[in-house]
Amino acid sequence: MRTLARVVALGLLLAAMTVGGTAVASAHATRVATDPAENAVLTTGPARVSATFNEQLQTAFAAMTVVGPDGNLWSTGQPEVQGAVISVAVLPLGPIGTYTVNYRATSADGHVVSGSWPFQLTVAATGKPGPAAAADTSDRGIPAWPFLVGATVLIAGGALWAARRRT
Amino acid sequence: MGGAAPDVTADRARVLAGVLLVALAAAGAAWALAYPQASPAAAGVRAVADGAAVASLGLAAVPALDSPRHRTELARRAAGPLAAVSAVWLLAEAVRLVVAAAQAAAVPVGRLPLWRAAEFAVSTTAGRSGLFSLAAATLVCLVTLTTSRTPAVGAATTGVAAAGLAARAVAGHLSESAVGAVAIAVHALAAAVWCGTLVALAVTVSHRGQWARVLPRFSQLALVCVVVLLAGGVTGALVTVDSVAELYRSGYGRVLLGKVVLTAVLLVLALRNRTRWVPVARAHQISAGESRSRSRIEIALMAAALTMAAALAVTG
Repeated sequence: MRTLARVVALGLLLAAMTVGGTAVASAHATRVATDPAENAVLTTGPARVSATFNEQLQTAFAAMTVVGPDGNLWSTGQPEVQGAVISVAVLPLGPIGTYTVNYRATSADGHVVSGSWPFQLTVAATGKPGPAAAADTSDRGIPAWPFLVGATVLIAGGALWAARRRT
Repeated sequence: MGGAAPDVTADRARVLAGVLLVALAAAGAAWALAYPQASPAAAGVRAVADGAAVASLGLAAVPALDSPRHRTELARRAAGPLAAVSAVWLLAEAVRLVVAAAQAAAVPVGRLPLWRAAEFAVSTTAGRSGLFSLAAATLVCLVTLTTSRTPAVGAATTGVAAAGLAARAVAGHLSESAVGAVAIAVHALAAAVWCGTLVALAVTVSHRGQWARVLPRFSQLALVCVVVLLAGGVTGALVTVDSVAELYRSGYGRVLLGKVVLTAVLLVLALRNRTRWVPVARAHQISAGESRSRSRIEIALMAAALTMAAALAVTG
């Protein structure tokens, strides 16, 4: 019966190998579309930029920014996640040049997908930029690791104590 | 039997050391196969968590393999190791949660704020499944430390450990597909029962009479597990892998291929053990020490396969 199961399994696996066409690079979420398109040449700035993935994204832990040729932030507000799409509002753009959209999101299985793509602005506009991109708001607060160390000591100690008591 | 007991205790250390060594080697192999897609830290934590969870499940379930008259005795022997591995499971789950939260927040683990870790645990699917596993591990550990081992408690602990294991599989790679999620959860549980109970036998069974009773039952259980494991695994692979080329071109595919090869070797060994070890053990014709060393070889391969599985779960 075991041999039969193995033969069947092997057959199924071979069948699975011969069917199927498009190759996806990974088992995780991958970017399938962007708006504006990668390396798009625009005469007016978009109101929002968005990236679409092949899987649902988690609404928490999403980040998206647009950085202009001047090194300033041209995106504004928090990124929004709807299903498989992450987007962020964009200020009216300013100088001519390359704008880069950076994103980071967590896919349904908890893995992080991140990347960036550029687009060009060919007609200068009169928008005012946000703060410099380097002044990224970093996470602040009590760090988590002391709690982890504390829990480790507590659990290991408790288990050892209980084991001693039993014997 | 009093003289055989220290043997088992010495063996436990040897089994643990061997398993760690093999797992380390397998982790290195998985990292090389998946390069540059795998994160060694995430894979390592995952492998420890998975291994401890599998051993917990096996140690909780193992008394059922002996005849009813001897179950209490086996449960008593399994209690100490069960408390220890479930504590390791609990800690590994906590570390895993913090490492995953730090990755999601794109900060080093040392700088992750507590509120970010809490946010990850509560508001993401991966975090919630991690919390569920954490709760399951805590429950198993507490119950083992505080209650006496009755069959009902044993069954309940087994159930909780199984739920904790399945939660992770369901929330993993294949969570997007309902069929895939169920298939992979079934696959993971079958693998856990098979590997976990063999590990549990190796660390609790001390004399040949006991091997004679438990091994035929284990063999039956293992056969069912292997069939279920293959069915679940093949279904999962069909859902995840879209083409043959993906199996060698992507890191994910290469690790999967490595796992398939290891499983095939393991199956050949298991088949040999089924025809050569089980009959002689049943007839009391093999010493307990020799039975344990046979189980250790199979456990070593299982550890390698489980490490590959852990690497697969974290490979992008």
